[in-house]
Amino acid sequence: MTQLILEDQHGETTMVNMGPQHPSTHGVINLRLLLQGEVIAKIDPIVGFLHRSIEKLGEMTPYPGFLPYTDRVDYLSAMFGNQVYCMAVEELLGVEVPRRAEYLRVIACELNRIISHLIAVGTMAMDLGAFTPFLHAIRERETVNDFMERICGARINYSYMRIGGVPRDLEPGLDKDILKFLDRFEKFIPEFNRLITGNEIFVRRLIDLAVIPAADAISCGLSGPNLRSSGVDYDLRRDRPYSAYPEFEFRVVTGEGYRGQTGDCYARYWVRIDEMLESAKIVRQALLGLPEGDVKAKVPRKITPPKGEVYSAVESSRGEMGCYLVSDGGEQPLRVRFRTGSFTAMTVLPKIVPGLMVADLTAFFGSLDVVAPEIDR
Amino acid sequence: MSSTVFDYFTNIRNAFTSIFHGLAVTFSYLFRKPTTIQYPDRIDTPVQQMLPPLFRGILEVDVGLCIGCNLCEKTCPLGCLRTAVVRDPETNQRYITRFDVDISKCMVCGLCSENCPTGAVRHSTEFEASTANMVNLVIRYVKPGERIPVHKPVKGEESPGLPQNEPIARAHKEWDEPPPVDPDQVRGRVRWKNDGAPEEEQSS
Amino acid sequence: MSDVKRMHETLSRALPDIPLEVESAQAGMSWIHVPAEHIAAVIGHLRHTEGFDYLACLTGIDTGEELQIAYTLRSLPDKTECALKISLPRDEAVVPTISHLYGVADWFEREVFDLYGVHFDGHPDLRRIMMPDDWEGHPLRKDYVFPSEYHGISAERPDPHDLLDPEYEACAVDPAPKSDSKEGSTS
Ligand code: SF4
Ligand code: SF4
Repeated sequence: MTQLILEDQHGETTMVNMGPQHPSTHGVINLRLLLQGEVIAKIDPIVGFLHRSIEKLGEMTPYPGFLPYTDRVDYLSAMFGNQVYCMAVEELLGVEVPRRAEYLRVIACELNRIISHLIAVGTMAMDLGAFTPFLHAIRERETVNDFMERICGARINYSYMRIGGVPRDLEPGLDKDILKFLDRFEKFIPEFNRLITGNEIFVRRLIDLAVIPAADAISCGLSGPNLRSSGVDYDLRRDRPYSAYPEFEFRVVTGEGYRGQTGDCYARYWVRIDEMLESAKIVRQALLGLPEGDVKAKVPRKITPPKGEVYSAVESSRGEMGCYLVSDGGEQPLRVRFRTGSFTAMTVLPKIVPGLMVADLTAFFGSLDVVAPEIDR
Repeated sequence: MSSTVFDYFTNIRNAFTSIFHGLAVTFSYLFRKPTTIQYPDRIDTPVQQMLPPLFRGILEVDVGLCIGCNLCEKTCPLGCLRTAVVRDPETNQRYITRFDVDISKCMVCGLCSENCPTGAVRHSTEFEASTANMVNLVIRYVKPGERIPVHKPVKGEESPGLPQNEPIARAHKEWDEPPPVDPDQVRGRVRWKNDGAPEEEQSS
Repeated sequence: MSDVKRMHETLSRALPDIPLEVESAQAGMSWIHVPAEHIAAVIGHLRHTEGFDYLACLTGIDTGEELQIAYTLRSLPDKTECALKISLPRDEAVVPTISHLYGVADWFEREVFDLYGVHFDGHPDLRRIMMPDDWEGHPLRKDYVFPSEYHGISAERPDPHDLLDPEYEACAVDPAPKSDSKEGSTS
């Protein structure tokens, strides 16, 4: 429901509530716009409709039992929530994760990145009125979801990782199926590009729109694809190495204006398309070089990390997902804090949006790829 | 943006050709096999049997295998499970008198089934459980008033439940040819009726 | 973490008036403890002179005795990190804002204000962000009491297990003493 409130008697400035139930906000977000004609003069994002107090729940749940909640931080890329939490607890405990488990984690995470980016590009095209690409993206996503189901038993809320590793090994034969899929997927991306990425109308709609300068991107704490599309060459996987990522070769994609300029909506779109191919490359390397060994380190059933605090961060599909974990030596954390990419991406709106048209806001918001539950947690 | 007449016409040409590129892709899908299935009615195999064996569906409990250790109840972050064990003072035999799973809260995370030493609690591939009353979502594997002696695992022998070390091998076998499920054979296995309420619920 | 030690030396040389200390616990990372009233000056120095251009995380912590705020700064070109921490009294927690230094601090501070009730001095727009504007209390404080309703909407529902309890009690006919009973151990 877009609700209209006339603020000014003369009809010069109009206040429009975009959301909370607006199809282009991808969740429950209220964007309060002050319009002059069709141009946005001011934007005030109202969030918190999906606040589920995951952080408070974390303080009331024992360490292993909190894991399923981390899926729900970002439901489109649940694997990263799992990983960042497990990494934080493992660092406090001083547990060494077996190499095979790290590889399996990388495989799962990169497949998750593919899933998430497919949704991102699909819904972005859908926001702009192109429905077909969304269905194509969803079809590929379903295939990956099937793999996820075979890896961990669930399609969305994976709960795959455990403190100290992963609960089970790959199903026999699954690696071959994934490799087969990757072959197909690398052909799918060019097809998808023919379908929508190269479409002149789509390109013209997005280039030079809502350019985020690199300085603003850094100051507003953008991360992940949004930061890189502004031309900042920073990727946590390479620059703050964790898990098994230093052992793989991949290119950090930056938005060096394939069309248009660095930092515009098309750059953000293109970075995601390109990153999917890089993820596919990483999955292939990991599957081919999968080391033998255990998949779970020995950890006690009752986990009581020593006193201390730790900040762990992973490169999630929506940017940096961080977990600030404080332990007081008890069975439950003293504080769990999730720093998410969507939350920081929202802070860029008041800087960039004024001056855009309402229809452009839809495109811009789609290109940021925020997920409402991740903002609110 | 187009500064010259030439640019103007190039743009128009590009727009047309790129649209036809896209339409060609869409058109090619006319001749490919459809990827969708018509759920829930017009499919040959029920979806439950098409799911991979590790699928984490609604919990099912084989009370006959339960040793009454209470680990699952302690592990669950939400308190979905409630068990009760009594001991007969004369024979020292312990009995399970209650094993309830509240699937309205359960987030099918798999922590309980992983911690169960005998594989008594595990995930089925069942997922359709909509019902009009929330209390119907408490599945009772032990009827009120019933006493089931706890399982005595034999030393050195694999539990007939889901083996914890290699769940895949067994699961694979099932995946290849799903065994006929007879609810009378396996105690406590739920079968779902059309209204979504489990059969145990009805008979109690 | 040598990063933090090195940064501590640099900071102590540059800002000799501010007492700074490196602290750490048994496990995990170490951080620089800064007096609360100087935090904006210290972070401003780090931002402008040392090149810490990215605020990775800002979070409040309630230890039960005091409130703390942890800042995780990062330098994207140098790939270094620096953790700072301040302590505040539980009542009248006031900190100078750093929202003029980092755009993202605006929302981070609003979040800490909302969930911990820390007041940020000089913040341009300190409102609640997660909770509704008329919410009472600051939920992440350790002494927070959960409300049972909000505008007439109940926040509680009965545990279905408890609803079934009488049925089991009615059939508990066997004379066996309940010495080994583990009933009711869930909360
Ligand atoms: S699957 Fe998870 S939520 Fe459900 S009963 Fe088991 S431990 Fe509890
Ligand atoms: S189901 Fe498994 S974990 Fe639960 S009490 Fe029985 S044996 Fe123990």
